[in-house]
Amino acid sequence: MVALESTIILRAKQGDRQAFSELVELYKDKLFNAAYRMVGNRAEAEDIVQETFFRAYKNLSHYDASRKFSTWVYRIATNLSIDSLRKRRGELSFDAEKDSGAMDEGSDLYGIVPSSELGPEDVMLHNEASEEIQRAIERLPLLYRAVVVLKYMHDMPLGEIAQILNVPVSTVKTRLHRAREALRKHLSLRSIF
Amino acid sequence: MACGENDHDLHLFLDEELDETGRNQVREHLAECVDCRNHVRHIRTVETAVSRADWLEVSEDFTSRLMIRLEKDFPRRRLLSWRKYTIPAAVAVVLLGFVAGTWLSVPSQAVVLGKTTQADSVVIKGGEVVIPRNTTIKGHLTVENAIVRVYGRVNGDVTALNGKILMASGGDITGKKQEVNGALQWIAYYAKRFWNAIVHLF
Repeated sequence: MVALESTIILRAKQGDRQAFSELVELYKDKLFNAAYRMVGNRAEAEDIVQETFFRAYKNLSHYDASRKFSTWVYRIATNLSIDSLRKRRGELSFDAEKDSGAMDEGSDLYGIVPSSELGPEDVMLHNEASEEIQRAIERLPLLYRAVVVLKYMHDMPLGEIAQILNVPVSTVKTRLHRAREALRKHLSLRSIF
Repeated sequence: MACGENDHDLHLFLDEELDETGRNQVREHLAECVDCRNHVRHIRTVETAVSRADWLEVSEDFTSRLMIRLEKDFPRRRLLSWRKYTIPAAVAVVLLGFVAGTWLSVPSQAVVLGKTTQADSVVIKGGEVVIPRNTTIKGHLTVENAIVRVYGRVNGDVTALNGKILMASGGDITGKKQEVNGALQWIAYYAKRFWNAIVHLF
């Protein structure tokens, strides 16, 4: 798979547009999910991923093939997502601590986390839970959000997350710890244990 | 280990980044502290919940829309780029100049060229070059803009540029007989001569 991908990348770098469209197929959903979890809006996320591939195509000659292609495109997509959120910043508050009242009372992790034996009604709960999780992520401060999305939804090692966000691994760890605490507060467990 | 101060250790414990001693300290603490135990469980549950979030897919026309945009903003060069064709183009220009040059430099009246030892013995008369009966020309003979009438003998090649070679009975050419007419033949003729000249250099 890795060898195949590097061949496609090489062909794309040589101007093979068919090869580039194969790269798009490989990464479009991954990047879309990452962007969607960060910006919380399908249309906006799709625009971000379109722009990501557009820029990737434009700058393909500058891409250093000795580094991971995934890191490179995730980095473009993450930066575009963060830019997009910063533009909105004036309109909405992204401070996790400010408006934490409403959700703490309404959410219940029993519904959010399906048990290993799922009944039909649990699936319903799971769908609702998915939205709750999305809202909780959207309440995280901007810089924590990317770490949570890449770590938990994309199973990325912290080292790669550090490269994508262009920060030291220690910073990624600190953000992850704080993000977990923030999520814990937003997704409260009432009467568990 | 005191509660409230050990959040950092708890997170290191969760990320499996503590050494054996550290891990045991946290485990001992968790065994006796229900708050911290709940704290850890709560975070684990949150992690699981987040990692199970739905996986979405882009709309179906995503790739085609992108490719259309790329086609528009980066049109593929269908015209041949100059760089690739510089050398053939240069060759074509030189050849054209060469042909035009020889064409223009060709005198319009009959001319006898060539390394004959008896160039005087041929007769130039109007549009004709005549090699009289009982005359032998030693060496190659090249004639431009004329009909060559061979009554005598040529011990060598006869070439007629923009002309014709007519053999009379009794006339004889020991070498090659060649008529060169039209631009393509001119190019071929000069190329061959040029090539022969190079070959002869070595």
